[in-house]
Amino acid sequence: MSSRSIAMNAVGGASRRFLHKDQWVQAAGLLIAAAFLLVAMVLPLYAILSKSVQNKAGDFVGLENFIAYASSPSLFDSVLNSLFIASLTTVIVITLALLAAYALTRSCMPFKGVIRLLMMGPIFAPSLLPAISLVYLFGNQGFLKSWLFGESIYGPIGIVISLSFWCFPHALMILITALSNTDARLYESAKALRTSGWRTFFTVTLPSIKYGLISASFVVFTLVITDFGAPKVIGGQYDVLATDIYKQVIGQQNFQMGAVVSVILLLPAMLAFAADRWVQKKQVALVTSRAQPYRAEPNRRKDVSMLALCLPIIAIVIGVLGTAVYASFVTFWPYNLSLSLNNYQFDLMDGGGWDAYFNSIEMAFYTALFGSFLIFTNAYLVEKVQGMRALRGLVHLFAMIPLAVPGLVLGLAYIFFFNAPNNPLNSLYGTMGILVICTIAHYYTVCHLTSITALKQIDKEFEAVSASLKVPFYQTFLRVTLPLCLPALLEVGIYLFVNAVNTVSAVVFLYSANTTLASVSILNMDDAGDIAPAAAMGVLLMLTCMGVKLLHWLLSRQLINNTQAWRKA
Amino acid sequence: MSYLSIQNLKKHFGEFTALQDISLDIKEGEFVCFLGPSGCGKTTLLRAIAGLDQQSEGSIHQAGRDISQLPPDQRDFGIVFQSYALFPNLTVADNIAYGLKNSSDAKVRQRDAITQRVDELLELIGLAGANHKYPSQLSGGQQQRVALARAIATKPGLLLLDEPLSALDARVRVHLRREIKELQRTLGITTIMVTHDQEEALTMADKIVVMNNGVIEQVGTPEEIYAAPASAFVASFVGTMNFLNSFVSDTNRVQVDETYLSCDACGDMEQDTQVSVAIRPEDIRVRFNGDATNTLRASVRGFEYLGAFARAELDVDGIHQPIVADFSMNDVRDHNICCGAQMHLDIPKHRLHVFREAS
Repeated sequence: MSSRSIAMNAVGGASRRFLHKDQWVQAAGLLIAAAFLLVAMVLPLYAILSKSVQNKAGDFVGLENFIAYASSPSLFDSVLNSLFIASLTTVIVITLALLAAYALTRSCMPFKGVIRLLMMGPIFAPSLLPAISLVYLFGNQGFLKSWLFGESIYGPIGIVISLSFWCFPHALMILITALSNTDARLYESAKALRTSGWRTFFTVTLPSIKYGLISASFVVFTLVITDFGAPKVIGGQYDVLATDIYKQVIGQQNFQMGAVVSVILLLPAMLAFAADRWVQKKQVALVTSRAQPYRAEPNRRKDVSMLALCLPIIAIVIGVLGTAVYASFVTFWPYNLSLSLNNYQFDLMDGGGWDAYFNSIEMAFYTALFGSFLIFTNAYLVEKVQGMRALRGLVHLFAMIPLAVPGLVLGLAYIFFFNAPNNPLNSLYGTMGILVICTIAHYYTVCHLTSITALKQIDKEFEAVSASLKVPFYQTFLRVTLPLCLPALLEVGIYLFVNAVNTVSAVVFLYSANTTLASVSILNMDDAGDIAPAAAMGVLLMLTCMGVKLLHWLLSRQLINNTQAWRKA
Repeated sequence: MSYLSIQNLKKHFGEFTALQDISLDIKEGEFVCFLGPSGCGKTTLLRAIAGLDQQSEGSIHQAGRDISQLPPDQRDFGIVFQSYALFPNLTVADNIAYGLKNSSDAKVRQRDAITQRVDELLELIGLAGANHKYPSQLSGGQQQRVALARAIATKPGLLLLDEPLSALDARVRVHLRREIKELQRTLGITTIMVTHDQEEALTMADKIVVMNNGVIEQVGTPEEIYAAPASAFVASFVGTMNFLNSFVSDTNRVQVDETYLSCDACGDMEQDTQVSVAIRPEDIRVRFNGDATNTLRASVRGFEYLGAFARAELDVDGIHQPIVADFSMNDVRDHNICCGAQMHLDIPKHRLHVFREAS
């Protein structure tokens, strides 16, 4: 059944009576939401799937491409490489993030706020930046090259270190949440039964954060296996799936093989996605509303050792980010170490110049603005509309897909779909518009879930009350629901902005001469050997994101002061 | 002529039948309670009347108008939820005025008219001057009263209350019970309240509709429901009741184990029909003299002091099922009732209820 007829059934099946005005508006809204996700996500994915079973002439050839892929040893090696890199990085990141999260939530070590802030640092930079830093530190001319005992940073070592660095905050956030959600009474019971600290950790702490751990592992695994920036910069001859797609498409113009690799890359990501969904379902009943929050008690020995554990992590964060900042100001590494702004004269380099930077800001701004309102409105319709079950379920399902689709796959899918000569949306190709749509689609799921969570916290009877008072639903949406969800909306906006600024994977296939982006220009400058300007651009993006985050923090504080007086009441 | 008339209402949620063939008439100005355990369909019925959940089959007429297929905003009702559902970002005055601003009547929409009506309502609910407060600055009881004011602001013909008192603590609940009832009587507004609290229903309602498993078990005044329950379910759900497995022995006698009890109400049942004989603990009396029907010997096995009265668990000679009886403190003192005491009981035959076993 086509999605259109599903939609019609859904509207028709909700009730046998005539649709009244509110329901028409709601049904129209839901249809628009479904149509957007259909065009921005589902149809492009279909295009890439069908491309993977066609030959160059466009004839259906079944699994021939996949067989050709599997029998090419160099290509198949990338599968093993990707799995190896992803597994190793996941183990490293989860171990470190668990230690750090434990220290932050379960000890009374000093400077917690600052430590936490510093640890989140890498999230504001593109994944290219730590890779560039590592080149400066351990590359052929790196000043810590000797630390590697003759091994080369270009290859698995470099990829694992950069991605561990970059994924760390993601895992840290999830684990902090998991550790904060534990019931203090379990610990009191353990204490009353005179259980040793270690036994308490293994019998109480670990089981209660089990799902958080699984969830964080899958998130990191997916991030690593789909990341393209780090292996591109520091991978050297070590091929992984993500770089293969790029090489097949950009290097050899072999779109079919690009599609095949994309489909293969979809598999682990989808597996991780399914597992994560399963975990989320399991987790629901874990913490009851009557749980008592855990409060750490000062314990000098524990606190000092926790601090000692955190310091090396912070040292690495400061070291890696600091190196990038320092390198971006050095005139000519390593021969002329005097500081200058030479590397920031992007207009003198290939890669798009300052225009690229402003394009990125423009793109991120539109993505944040349109994306947050679009996604929030859709989430509202999914969560709060009565009836139209099938249609709402369909929109929700569509909204969950992007999480399982790696950026590169999405970008390639957009080429196949939007660049097809018979597509009426063809004119979007090469514009700022397609970059914005693609980025919104790419990061849709997390924003959708954030919005749904915020909406679930609102009394579910508001719509019923306004109907009884004969107030149309959209008036209540604007006067009550939206103001109540403003913090969540800002959260979604900032998330979209930061990701839009830093993303490389999806947009690398979609930019045109007029719409080069800063993150892509880092890649291109690095390719051309202009590594210092690449670092400079990376630093600029990181500082921009940190600045915007600061602005967001000030703005939301101001907004809460001015418009949310009721919160403090 | 009934104000609200419900005919053959059915509601299915997939396989599950929430309402099976409900028919009910409510008179204008009546205070009706839907009483039943959770999942009995009482809230579903309320939401069908409001149009929030469309019924699968059947019709609803309000004031002579067929509203069965109308969406909620074209029906005439105000509603109060257990959670109050006050808009937290709007002041008390804005909450109450929420529906007034959208009124189809231009006179009602006027700024002055709204201010005046809001003040009037705040006066009515005893919260005059709270106009500019936010809901979170009010106590639970006050919030519930604001929700009530918001619901009646537009002068609806029907007021629906969905467990309005369940979220409040006991003392406030008793107080607000009286206030809501008084307000309802003053305004003369037809009101339906959903509750699972029998005490609430008994004290507030003109008419109680007891529901279970999607059907109406009994409709009646509080006295009727309590004193003459129509089914074993109603008898057990409202108040406390002893149930004894027994058989009909002849037209007005039942056999409980080795004992025969006379009763008024098993005339139409055949001999040897399996029945449940029920008696309320407070209807069992200590016998001293008088008529000799249903006199039994018993010993006190357990004794529980409950303040104004005491509850005794009894072993009755010739009956192998436990019986619980309530005795006033006077009885307890006069007859020396305590654990282990022997006594004679009297079970008034007109207080015995006989229910056919569902088998």
